[in-house]
Amino acid sequence: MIYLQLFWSFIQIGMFSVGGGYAALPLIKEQVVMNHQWLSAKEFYDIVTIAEMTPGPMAINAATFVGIKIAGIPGALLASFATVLPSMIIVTSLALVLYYKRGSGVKLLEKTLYGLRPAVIALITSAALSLMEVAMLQGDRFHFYEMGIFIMGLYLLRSKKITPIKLLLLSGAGALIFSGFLAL
Amino acid sequence: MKSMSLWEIFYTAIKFSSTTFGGGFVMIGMMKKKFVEELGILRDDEMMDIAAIAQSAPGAVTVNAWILLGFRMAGLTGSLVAVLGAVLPPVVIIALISVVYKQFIQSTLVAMVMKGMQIAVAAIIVDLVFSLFDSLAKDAKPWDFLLVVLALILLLYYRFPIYILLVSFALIGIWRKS
Repeated sequence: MIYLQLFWSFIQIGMFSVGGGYAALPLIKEQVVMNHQWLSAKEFYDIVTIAEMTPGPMAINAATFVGIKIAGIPGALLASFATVLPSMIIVTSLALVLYYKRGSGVKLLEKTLYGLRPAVIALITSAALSLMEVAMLQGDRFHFYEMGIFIMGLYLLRSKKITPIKLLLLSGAGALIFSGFLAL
Repeated sequence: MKSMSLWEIFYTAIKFSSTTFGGGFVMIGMMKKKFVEELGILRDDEMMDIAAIAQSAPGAVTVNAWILLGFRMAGLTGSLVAVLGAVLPPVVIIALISVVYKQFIQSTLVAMVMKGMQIAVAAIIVDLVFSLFDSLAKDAKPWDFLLVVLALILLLYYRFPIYILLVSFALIGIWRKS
């Protein structure tokens, strides 16, 4: 029963995650935190952070983590398989169209993408809002140093074009030093 | 047409998938370097097609790109082998991490570092949101902004199921372009 639920949830995640890993976040959260209480919100955001530090797609990372927690290694394999199954079917069909006959299928795909674009932007924006909330607004004190790291990070990304992985390492180290000072 | 053996496809997928940080777009860049520039197996426009479909089809961009590349190299078997190679490394890595996660996360030192990294992740996504709105502002009509706002309201205030949102927006797109 649990296997069936895992399979079905991650099929949906694989099927409806369009527009890359960040757009998939609200969808994964909906399935894993809200519909089934497989992960707490904290565990979910931990996994997002871990996914950012490790290679591999967000959805696969989430599938493996949830699968192991709920049903061990078989659960992890099943959930990961369910995540890629829709891609395998859809993308292979598209490959057939691409390599054997071009034309009307591509037109329909373009129209669909055109329609999905605003929805994808909204999904990523909503993921950004909930991540900001988790990273900076939880608890009752004023989040002075969190905001500092955030604004600094955004500045480095936008003006200095720092790579995300460098920013992750820098912020990790920064938080460690800051909390060291606060503890003194 | 030059090609690659199944074993070479598998091995390359494993190697790339375990060392590529930063998501699907980075992976596509690495593929282009290897298969177009280094090996000369793919033409530039073939790689562009792969990139476009991988980004637009449902699912992870990396996985989609490997399905297409595997298919182009060795048909259906090729795409199966490529998917396996692309998925195996993250599954193994996360499985190992989840074994130590409980002890790992309880350490206050780790918790502090994670907190800092979480803020970085927030900054990375907010940066992406800015870029998305920038590019929307360049070529979009006022309608597109209204649709983004509508989708946000549906998501945040009405907790609209995401698949219904996506299906209806896809239909709106087909209708607007027809």
